[in-house]
Amino acid sequence: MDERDGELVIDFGRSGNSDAYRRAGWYEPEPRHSWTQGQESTLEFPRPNFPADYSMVLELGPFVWKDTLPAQRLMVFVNGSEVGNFVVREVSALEMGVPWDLIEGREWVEVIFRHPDAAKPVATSGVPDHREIALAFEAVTFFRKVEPLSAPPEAYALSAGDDPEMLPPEQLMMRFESLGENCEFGLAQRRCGAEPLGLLRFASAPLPVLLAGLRGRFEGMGEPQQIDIQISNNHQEYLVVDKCFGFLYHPWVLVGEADPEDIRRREAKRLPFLRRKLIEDLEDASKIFAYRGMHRLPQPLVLRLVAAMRAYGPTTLLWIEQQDGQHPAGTVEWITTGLLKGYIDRFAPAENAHALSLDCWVSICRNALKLGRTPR
Amino acid sequence: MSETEIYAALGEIFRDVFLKDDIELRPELSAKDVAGWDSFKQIDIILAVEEKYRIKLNTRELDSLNNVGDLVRVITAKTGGG
Repeated sequence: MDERDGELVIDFGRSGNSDAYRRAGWYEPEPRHSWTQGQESTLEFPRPNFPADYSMVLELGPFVWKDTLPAQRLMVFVNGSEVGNFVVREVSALEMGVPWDLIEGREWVEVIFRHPDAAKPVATSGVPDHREIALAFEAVTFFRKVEPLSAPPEAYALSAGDDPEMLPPEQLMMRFESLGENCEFGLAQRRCGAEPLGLLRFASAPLPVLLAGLRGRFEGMGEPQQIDIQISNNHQEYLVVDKCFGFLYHPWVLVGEADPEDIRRREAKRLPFLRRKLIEDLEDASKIFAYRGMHRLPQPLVLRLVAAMRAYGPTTLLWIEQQDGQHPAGTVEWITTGLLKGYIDRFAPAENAHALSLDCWVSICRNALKLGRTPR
Repeated sequence: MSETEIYAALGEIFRDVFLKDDIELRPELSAKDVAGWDSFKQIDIILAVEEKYRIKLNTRELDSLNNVGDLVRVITAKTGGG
């Protein structure tokens, strides 16, 4: 347990650290995950010393098969007490609270996962896999809960003359940089006439991929052998896959408009330039970085992103989620130092990022900029 | 290097990037005035400028570029011209 951050991250990939914590009920790790074995799996890790309530987040995907096996039930027990009960239908990040009084009496924390719908693929889908699997774990994170802020934290730099209310949308949107997870925000900037140069502006950047990229300083992106040119599912456009970290992005080239080798050569020039610029932007910390998940993101995972970003400089993340009963669309609030949370009326549909809620994006950005007017 | 020389060199770069011979460079010319001048073309222009003048534009310089005149000013400053 990292006592400074009060954070433990268990990575279930083959090169991860889960060997130290997996007990009964697991298959050997695969490149990015480990499958559970049978109907019960156990983890054990040292109890953090700092007395506080904690959060645990599971990043996992279920074994499901059409109508035969549409979901996996999952019950989570910490030191014998149930802390979570879920029905997992798709790749998910599941968050649950772990009160201090559940863990304070023992030096090790025992976590038991019960997954009674474990099944053998050979019997379910006909795939020649005889293992009895339920859930593929990618990561488990254990965090101290975040205390709400009583005062605004340090903010990003704005010059004295800036008034967010007065900025035309084009200039307003230039103050932001998209980190993904899809290209919706990059397109919102384009609709406002803002064309910032951003490595991830038109990228698919799921959180684990983004975290790996940030922690690795995006090293190797743009090397020709790391660039794979593919054709989209609808066979209409090319897609670029970065083999270093797994980013996927649009070069905005239609099939037939250019040769894939020409695209590779172009990207091999562009990516190192954009990587350099992103790192400078993170270090410079004068922009706000925007991120939205394709699914609701648990706060502890977003805090991991903030921590990875702030290893570069005192930068700020604007995390966007859908509006709720307490937070109408357009609301922006500080969560903690370096993290703003904004609420949108709706996201664009996954299959058409162009169908976005432009006015709400602009309103969120304006409100985010207003909150950050305190000089750093 | 004089501004005239920089404009001449930029003219060549713009012709290569946009594959058009009829772009007349002037200080106030911006992306709004040239069809297809999006962030991808902007990167192509910057990369060509960096290669030609053996300079690196930092992120604040890049974000300050609103038109051709801004680009010429940055090149002039970084190459010690003017």
